[in-house]
Amino acid sequence: MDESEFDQFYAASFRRVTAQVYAMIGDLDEATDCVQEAFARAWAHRRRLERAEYPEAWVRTTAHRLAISRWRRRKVASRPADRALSAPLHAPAVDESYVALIAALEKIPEAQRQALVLHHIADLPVHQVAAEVGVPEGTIKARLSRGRTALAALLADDNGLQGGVSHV
Amino acid sequence: MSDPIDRLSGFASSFEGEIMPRTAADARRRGDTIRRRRHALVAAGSAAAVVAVAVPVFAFASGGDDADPPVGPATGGTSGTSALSADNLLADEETRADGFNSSWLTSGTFSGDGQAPFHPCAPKPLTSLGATDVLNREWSLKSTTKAAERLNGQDSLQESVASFADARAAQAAYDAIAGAMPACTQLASTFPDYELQAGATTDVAIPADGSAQYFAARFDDEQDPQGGGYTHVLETGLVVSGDRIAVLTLAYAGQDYVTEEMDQMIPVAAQRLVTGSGPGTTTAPPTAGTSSPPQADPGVTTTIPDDIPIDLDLVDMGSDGDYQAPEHLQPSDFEPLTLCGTDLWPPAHVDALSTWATGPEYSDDRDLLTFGSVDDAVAAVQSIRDGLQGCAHSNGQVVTTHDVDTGYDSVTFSTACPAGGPPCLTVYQATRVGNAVLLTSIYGEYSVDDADHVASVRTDITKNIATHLCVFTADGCSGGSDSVSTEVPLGPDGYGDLTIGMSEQEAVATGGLTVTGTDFGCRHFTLAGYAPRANSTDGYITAKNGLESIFARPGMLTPEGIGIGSTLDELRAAYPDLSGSDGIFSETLDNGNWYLFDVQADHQVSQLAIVAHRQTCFD
Repeated sequence: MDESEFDQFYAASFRRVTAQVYAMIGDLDEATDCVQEAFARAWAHRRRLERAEYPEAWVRTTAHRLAISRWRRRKVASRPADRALSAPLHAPAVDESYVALIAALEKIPEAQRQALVLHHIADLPVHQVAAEVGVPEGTIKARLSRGRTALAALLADDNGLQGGVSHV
Repeated sequence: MSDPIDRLSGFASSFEGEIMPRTAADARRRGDTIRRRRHALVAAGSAAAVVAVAVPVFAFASGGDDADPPVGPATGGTSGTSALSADNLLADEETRADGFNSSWLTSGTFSGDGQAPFHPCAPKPLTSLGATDVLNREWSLKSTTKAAERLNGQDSLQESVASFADARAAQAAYDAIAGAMPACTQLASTFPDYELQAGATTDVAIPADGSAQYFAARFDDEQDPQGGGYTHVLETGLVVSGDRIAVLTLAYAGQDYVTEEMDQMIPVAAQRLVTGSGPGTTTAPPTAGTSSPPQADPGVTTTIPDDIPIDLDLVDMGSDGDYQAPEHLQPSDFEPLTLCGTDLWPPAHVDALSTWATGPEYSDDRDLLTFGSVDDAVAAVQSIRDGLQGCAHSNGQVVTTHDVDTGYDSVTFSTACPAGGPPCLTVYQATRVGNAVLLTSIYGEYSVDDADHVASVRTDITKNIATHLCVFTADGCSGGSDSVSTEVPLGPDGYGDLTIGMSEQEAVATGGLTVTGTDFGCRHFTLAGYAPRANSTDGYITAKNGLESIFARPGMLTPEGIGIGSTLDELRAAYPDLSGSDGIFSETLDNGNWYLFDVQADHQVSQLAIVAHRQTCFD
């Protein structure tokens, strides 16, 4: 993968992967930062990436793992002393209409959220989601089903509240 | 818009057209930094790997035209009587293990079908496929940085060559093996997730009549949701030429395909199969340092204490590489370093302590030897200098001696791939302290132009290790040291005259640092008395918060005595209220600043910093 191929890959995939990771972790700044780092690692490991079947999946998975480990570090109020010379990023603003969606996604179990994001946002067929997550297809189908139900309930509540109708 | 599916689907498209916070070039720069950081943190003696890079993959020994003509089978291809010999198998130096930062060492050569199948997917033994003659060779992976063989049962290379009654029988066997690859029934019965990587199956051009194919498959995929995980990879090279076939099998565990070795070995295997001679010349390196150890002068310390930190700043790449903690070696364990026909290392010595680390495109190697007298040690360094005299090219590489002042009796030199070739550089630095000599070497994908810079980085490490070698001097360790001071603590307020929170102007005015650059509003600096480090900074300053952080150099300690190399137990004892996990620990101080500790898998502090309550420059 040479520079121009990488740049094309980056241009084609960056926003998409960022949206996916954002939906998975619920923090846009963090998602943007992690996706950027994942692309950097992809470039650093480009010889491996050339042989990866789905380079975008490689980046997404790497970014998600970074986000998970960063989040854990954040919880203990300390951040790694990485001398990566990286600076804070300014991520794009998010359409308000999606804030509720992200909030709802955050409330459902992580495994279901991941399945929903990969299938409905990343547009991967079920078998590919199963491959990426590393579980059987049947499990993914079950997670999708439960996840959709949970999300629908959460969004219904959300809509209700926004409409001024109290459920109390 | 209450349908969750619609909202999910619309979500992704809402991002299209958003401004990207950074460009692809930013990602590449950062990626290059990651690569360089691995290298710069340390270099190496994988002279063999370097040579492998430098030597053209395919160069007929006979020389001649650039366009080498294909070679036909020695027998005419249809005689059916051609006898195979070990020369039809790849020689060790023709194998490739760059992706492993290592090399393959023959562990056995045998004829016939043997007990084990010649390939995990083989439908039948070769003789059952019609072979009249079969020869096999197996290789084990070893470190190129040390001859101490480290076998890894998961990594293996094997080649089988077979001759048949005629070309048709050979082609039939070739087709049968190729046909077995997609299903690989034998392997798949144990590992149902066996999968041939369709996109990675290709025809390979060979310098002989006939054809060759490359197959990549993976199985036993174990992905760890916490990161990492690995898969098993099976790469196969299949060659048919005349009445012969060759089967190359490479198996290893890793996170992904790591090798381009097969692409390079298959054409060579094809040539071997046909002509019985390889493309390169082979000369066994002379074995150095095998003479009996000299006797030590009375009163001279020759036994190296185990706690000499020759692994200072040595980076363990985890699953991305290999790491050898310091160990005592026998003379026969060494990989000799020979340049221009002269054995430069190891000289005859009394005791040896060695450590190394390898990773993608880098390796770092340190050897510490003791001698029976200071004179012997002086002679050892001098003999390296003598050996380098007039040595400008060796093993296809450019040899350069560098004028570097370490403050000790030292010689610094490098070997680099010639201009126009792939970047590769090994920088060596031999330093004598008393009756001991330390040789460090670092290999990375640098160009020869980087040598001075890499050498300066290495000098920093040499100096820091050298301060611990006082035990080998006549004065011992009680006397004054010319090392960078360990007396100034990295304290809660800062380091020396540098106080966390002070402005850049104030910090510069103390003379305690030199600002070296800016990245996204964060100023980098190098602490006074230390050499600048590649792609690294000793801390950050911002216009808003002033001096935000100072990172410890090796040897710098907190008032509680914690520094780089301290163990996790020591850290916990010094800071009982330590918080953190995942190897990152912090201690919040009364003044609001905090210490940050990065503890690696070896349970040692690898990074340490005093950090302002508010900092914005790293994460």
